[in-house]
Amino acid sequence: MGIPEIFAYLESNEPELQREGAFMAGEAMCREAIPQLARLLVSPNLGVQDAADMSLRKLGGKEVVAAVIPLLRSEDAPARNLSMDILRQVGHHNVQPLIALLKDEDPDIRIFACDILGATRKLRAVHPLCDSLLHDPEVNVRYQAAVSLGEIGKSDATEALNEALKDDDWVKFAVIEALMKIRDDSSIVALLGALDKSSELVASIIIDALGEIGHIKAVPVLINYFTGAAPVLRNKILKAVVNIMGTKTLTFLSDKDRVTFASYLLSAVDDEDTAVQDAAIVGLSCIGGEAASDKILMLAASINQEQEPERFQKAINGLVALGLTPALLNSAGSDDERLSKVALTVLIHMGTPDALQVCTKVFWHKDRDGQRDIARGVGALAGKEVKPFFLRILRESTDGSILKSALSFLGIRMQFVDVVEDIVPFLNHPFDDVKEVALDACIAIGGKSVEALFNEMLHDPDPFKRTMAVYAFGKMDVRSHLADLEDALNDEVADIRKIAMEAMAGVCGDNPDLLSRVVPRMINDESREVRRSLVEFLGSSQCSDAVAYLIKALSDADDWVQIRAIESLGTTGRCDVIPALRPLLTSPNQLIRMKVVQALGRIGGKEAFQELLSILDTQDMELLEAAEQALDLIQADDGEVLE
Amino acid sequence: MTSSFTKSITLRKQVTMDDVEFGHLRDFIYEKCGIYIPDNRKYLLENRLLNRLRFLGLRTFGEYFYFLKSDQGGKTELQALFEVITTNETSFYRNPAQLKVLENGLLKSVMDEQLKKGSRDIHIWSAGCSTGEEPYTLEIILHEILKAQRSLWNITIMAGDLSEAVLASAARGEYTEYALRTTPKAIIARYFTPIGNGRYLINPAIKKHIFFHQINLNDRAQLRNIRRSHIIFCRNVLIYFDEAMKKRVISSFYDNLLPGGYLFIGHSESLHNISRVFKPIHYPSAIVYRKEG
Ligand SMILES: C[S@@+](CC[C@H](N)C(=O)[O-])C[C@H]1O[C@@H](n2cnc3c(N)ncnc32)[C@H](O)[C@@H]1O
Repeated sequence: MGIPEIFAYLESNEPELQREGAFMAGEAMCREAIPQLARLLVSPNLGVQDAADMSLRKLGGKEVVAAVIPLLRSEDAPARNLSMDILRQVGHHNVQPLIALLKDEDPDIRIFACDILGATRKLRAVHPLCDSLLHDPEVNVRYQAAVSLGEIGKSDATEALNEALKDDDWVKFAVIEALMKIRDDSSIVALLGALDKSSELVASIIIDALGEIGHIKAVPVLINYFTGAAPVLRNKILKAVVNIMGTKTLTFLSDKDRVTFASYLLSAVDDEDTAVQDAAIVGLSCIGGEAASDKILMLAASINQEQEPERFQKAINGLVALGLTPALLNSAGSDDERLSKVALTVLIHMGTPDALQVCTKVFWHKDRDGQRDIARGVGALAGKEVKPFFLRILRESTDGSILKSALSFLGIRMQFVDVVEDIVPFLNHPFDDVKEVALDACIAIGGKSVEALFNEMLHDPDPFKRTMAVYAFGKMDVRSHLADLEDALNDEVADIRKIAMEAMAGVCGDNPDLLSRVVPRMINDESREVRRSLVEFLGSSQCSDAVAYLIKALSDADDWVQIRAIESLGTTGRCDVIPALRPLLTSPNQLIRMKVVQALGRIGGKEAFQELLSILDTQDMELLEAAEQALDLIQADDGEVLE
Repeated sequence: MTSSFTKSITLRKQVTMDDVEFGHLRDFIYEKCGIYIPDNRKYLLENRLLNRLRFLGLRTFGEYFYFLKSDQGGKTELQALFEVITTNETSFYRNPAQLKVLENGLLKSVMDEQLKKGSRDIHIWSAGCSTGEEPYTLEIILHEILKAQRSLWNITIMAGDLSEAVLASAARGEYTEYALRTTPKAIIARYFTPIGNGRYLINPAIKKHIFFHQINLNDRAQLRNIRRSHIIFCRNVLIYFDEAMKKRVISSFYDNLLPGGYLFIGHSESLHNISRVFKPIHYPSAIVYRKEG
């Protein structure tokens, strides 16, 4: 749509057309329409307003700023809000006229201007805002100036903000918040200085701010202030100190103070403010003791782990630090599900033999989820002493996840030779994932009896068994089972032929006899999966014959076979393969073309270089980029081809 | 003979998705359907796409990205990708409080307005209908309210979704007990036929007025072709979009709705900071958005 049409739409009387025109103006980046769009912001039709709004934001720039500013004076509140909102987003394109508004006669306009300037985040706005903060006669303007200085967050504002701590409480709130956001050293001094002179309410905000800034300088002052402070402030101070010092909180205290501090911490666990609770946990975990353990266990049990994972974790960490307390041991065996879950989580986190032993003891009394957690945790951390525990699981549990933990502990982690018989039945388990772990467990244990087992399975009529055996030989000692694997290449099941192919790839690339036996047969295999594995195998081969087969694979019906062949030919570094690659530069498949280009880059040399130069006139941007990269690669490797 | 077991075991190394590949796929997905995948969901994407990679025999996520963009399998693979990235959680009679608003007067007022104009046409659009529970519920509600008069009205329901797989399942109209967990027993008895194994078939009468169709809410041109609606349901879909996409979609709904029409979004969703085009109407436990006109 052209500009005249856009204007025709914008000026129509039909709201739907106006809306359409407003969208078009934005889409076409039609700056001429900006004044008209600004007028539509006060349209009685919300759909028109909305479209004008979106397009003005999209257009942006100083014309939009200029066109929207007058609306700040509108009597219509929604229009005013809308213009504020737009200016917050695009104001940074031209702050000068907004700064000028700070001197407006109308205090409302000055408030709006402060607000918008904050959202622009422009350094240039800082000094004018400082000026308003210190000298504007209207308290709400000073307040908004402080808020905006915090939003901009530049330390250039701290001097003025420190000065403004003398202002009345309303402004002070905003000033403290701003200082907190700026986090400058000099603000800490100013905040500490203001603490004594402040009302309880302001003091509490200062304390929070100091905790938030987290500078160690504040700690001695806060602790001094603690004893004389009003009770409501004490928990805040505890929180601030713990936030700043973390687990080293207590090193600051004399022995006497430590006892008092501990009793305060115990009661702080019951504070309504969850941030205070969390701080109390950290504090208590350094103090230790039965009472602390009990309190934190109760608190942790009341936290909803899904909704507040971080808080839950903090409580767990606190409990881990407290060690194996009687309260913890009792909770592990408790019938209260939440409490017992907390305790078990703690024990598993500890991971010591004692702690894990407790878990195995209570295992059989827990529900499925509890059992899964225990099996997973113990299986990952415990030592051989829990072997009987996991053997019992194999005999008695029916849960797939629990069984997998047991199989993986006994076979993969511990590789106990004498458990093979216990594991083997699970190779027939109805769940695939259990089967898979059982298989990996047998392989990990290895040895003569396992090998014999797989030998038998290799000739089983059940294709599952054969798959497993081939997979196992591929993982174990391939060389001594080469003949078996070669046999498996004849299996009627394609997946088995594929795995056999994958297994051989690792070892027989350097065996020309094998190559000449295997490849001519497999290169025409009906399964593309098998052929893909074959080309990968050829890629790893050192034999000169491999190249001829790879070239043959370039005309395979499957794109991915072609692609693997191209990749492999690229790594040979032989320029005599270039003629075979050349036709594929016009393949309909873009990835194939890209792969050829990359292969040419890897092959290098004059001929590849020429070939790459010849495609630089392509229209395909991605191909062009790849060609340029390939050329760079050749030049870097081999400077002389340029001469 | 193949099975998931023999397919999935392999001697190849496990592939992982690096940040560049994730970035490419994330941008691609966003461009295609407006779904934005945040960083902390990378592992999920990786995990779910791994099966696609295995199935296609690809070695890296970079190759998968190419494959998606290619003319060869790209088009069909895109549907498979949509299936992987969408969350299709839904049920019959989901969030009854919102449906009550429809039952207790809103529908009636729309019908009255139509009658005043001498029309018995009403058009409802369920955008992001997943496996069909939402549009079927709407049709059941129409039957419950209108009873025998249902046939005197020409009320159609367009039900669209990005994923063809869920649409195919919607068209079959076969459900488990779980999908009916919040549905009143009497409704189940009236509108479903048990077919054993805890499964139920929706009655053909309910299917008659619903038109399932593939739709991409990120495709403005396609949305413009949807017939204009009196009521739009788009519940629990916007959550998957970023703010810019939400704005685009809401703006399209505004254009599609007839003046005086209503938009229902998910019970936990809000248009706050997204759009002011609609007038929010507050009911005791639900908000409905109205296009003034
Ligand atoms: C959680 S379901 C919501 C189902 C139903 N509306 C409800 O509230 O129960 C979300 C649906 O949105 C669909 N969806 C996601 N992105 C979409 C897009 N760009 N276009 C169309 N549908 C989309 C998904 O395929 C999915 O089926």
